[in-house]
Amino acid sequence: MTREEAFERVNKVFRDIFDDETITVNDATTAADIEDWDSLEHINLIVALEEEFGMKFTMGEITGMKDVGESVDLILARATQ
Amino acid sequence: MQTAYITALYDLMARDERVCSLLSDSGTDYDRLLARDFPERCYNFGIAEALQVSAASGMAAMGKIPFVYTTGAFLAYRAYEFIRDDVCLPRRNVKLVGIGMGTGMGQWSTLGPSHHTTEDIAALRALPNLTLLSASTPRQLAAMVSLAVRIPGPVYIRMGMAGESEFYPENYVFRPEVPELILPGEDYVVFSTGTILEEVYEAVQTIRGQGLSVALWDVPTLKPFPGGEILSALDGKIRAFTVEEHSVTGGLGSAVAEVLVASGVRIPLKCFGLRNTFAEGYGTTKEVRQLNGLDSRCLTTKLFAGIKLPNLDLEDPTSQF
Amino acid sequence: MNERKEIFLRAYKAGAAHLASSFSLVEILRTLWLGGVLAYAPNDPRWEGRDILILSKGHGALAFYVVLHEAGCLSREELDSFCLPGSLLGGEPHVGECPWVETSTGSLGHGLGVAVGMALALRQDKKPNRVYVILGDGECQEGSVWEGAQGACAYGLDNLTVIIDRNRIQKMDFIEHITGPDDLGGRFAAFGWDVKDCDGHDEGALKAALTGNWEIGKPRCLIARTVKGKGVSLMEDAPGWHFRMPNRRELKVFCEELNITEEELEVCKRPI
Repeated sequence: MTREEAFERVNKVFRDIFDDETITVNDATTAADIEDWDSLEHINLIVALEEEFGMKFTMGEITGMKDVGESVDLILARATQ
Repeated sequence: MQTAYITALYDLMARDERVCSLLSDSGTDYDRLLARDFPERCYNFGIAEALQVSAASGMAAMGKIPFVYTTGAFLAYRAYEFIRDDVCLPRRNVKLVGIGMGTGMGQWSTLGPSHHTTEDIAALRALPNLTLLSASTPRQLAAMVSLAVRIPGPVYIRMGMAGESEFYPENYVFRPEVPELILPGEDYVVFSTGTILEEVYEAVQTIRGQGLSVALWDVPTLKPFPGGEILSALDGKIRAFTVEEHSVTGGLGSAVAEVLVASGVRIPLKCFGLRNTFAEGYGTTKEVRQLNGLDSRCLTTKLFAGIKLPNLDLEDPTSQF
Repeated sequence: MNERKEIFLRAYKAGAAHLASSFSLVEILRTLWLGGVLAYAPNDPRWEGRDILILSKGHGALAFYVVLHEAGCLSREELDSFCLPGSLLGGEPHVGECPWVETSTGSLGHGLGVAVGMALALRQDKKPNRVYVILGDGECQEGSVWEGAQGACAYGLDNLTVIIDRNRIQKMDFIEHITGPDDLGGRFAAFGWDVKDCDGHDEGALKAALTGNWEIGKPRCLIARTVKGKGVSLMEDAPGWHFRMPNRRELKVFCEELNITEEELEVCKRPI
């Protein structure tokens, strides 16, 4: 899976979770860029990403996640689907 | 701080089978993930703090290491006798974590005195066999949680809720019973404990900007109290101060005073905190601290007055006689 | 007045509040204060002849204040100050601030015990005033509630009425998922209380139950079946709304369902 493919699927998950078709995430996107991205939505987002890519994040990765680029790196390393 | 807590606890539970998480309907959104990954070691007793502590005692007796996590006011006050008789008396290996020390409940402080944890140090300091830790920043809290497992017997960690400033580096190693020097200084010394550090730091920096040499120490271990280190920090100082988002009766101020008097060293000490009153008022945490004279602006004025025109203001404002 | 709209606007200005817990209490409080159940004097909170109401479920305070305002007991200005610096109205009832607060609550499981003491004193003085306590159903997980239930029966306090806001949800989840299926009414009956239950959003049913006849010599327990977050679809029967404000996307639904206009919202925006 290329980084672009991963980003496409990640973007789809973001649009579903935040119910906003205008969202386009990139490497540098952080919680500050999306108004509704609070700790509750963060969990929903993580669970959705895990289901989409058939993988698991550790708690340290979840709470320490700096930006979307970091999560895509983890996805590329561990995705099973 | 709650995120730092859950991350540290997750790592512990991943490494040590004995570690369990016990809630009383008081978890965060991250607890869903903890329970997903360690379903058989996460318990929620509902709104029942006494049961939460007693059950922890029972689990510890069977070799588990339970982390009891709930609002500090409910844990330290309501479940106090259960902490005393079921944990400290039999010296059980229970780790108690009180959330929301002082008046802060994260960004907002809108629930008033019933939710403020401002007398827990005084209450818990008297309990034998208890290690009492007071976290000032998320990294320090995380380090305390990791270390708590290696401290045999009862440990109580008081922590903030959310949004605290960080003063320690990424690789911070928490050393029990050792106060942390935050700002060096020669003539005056200020001791602080817990999440009020961010307000105290700003106030001390403002005063240092006036050309006064003031040292600032964070005191994370309140029991056993590091008397020796406190005395060496006091050495050669003209005047000393303590600041806590807690009653001045029985807290950090009292602990420093005990050491000072016992040592015979003649250094005047001024204790800032809640002078025998409950914290009052509502708003953001910053606003409520200001209403109670504990935000950086008020502390700057108090510290400056304490240095420039010291008076032996020993009279208790609430006395009626 | 649309109490739920008012509750939301006050919460929005304060920045934080227990919205869902307040929304489930509205009809219960309206029945007590506007339905002719409670005896009180709007301009004399400490009137000797008043019935006592203790909000043991302290986090329903905002609903309490809104209905007090509607009953003429709190001014518009007092209500508008909710949870702002200098205000006498906080997120949990605190004695010495709002004169209508009989005892400070916020920590759960305190109100019933205090009510037992008040009921005992009133009976000792042969006064007809009644004592009402509103409990949360999650709150009944605290052991102190059952000490209160026991004490009330020991002294046959039939001047004491408990109303349980039975909305089946607590902070982290459905109550049933945490402490299992439970017959709360059965428990109170086993302790010796006279127990009724009704729809907690039907003011007619609430009034009929409260003012109807009850067994002599027994304290009274009315289980009011309610919906936590009643009035906004997103919150209804959805754990996770215990102490949370809507984000931008959810705010549109709140405004729509509580018919709050853009201007009304704008007025409550507080510069932080």
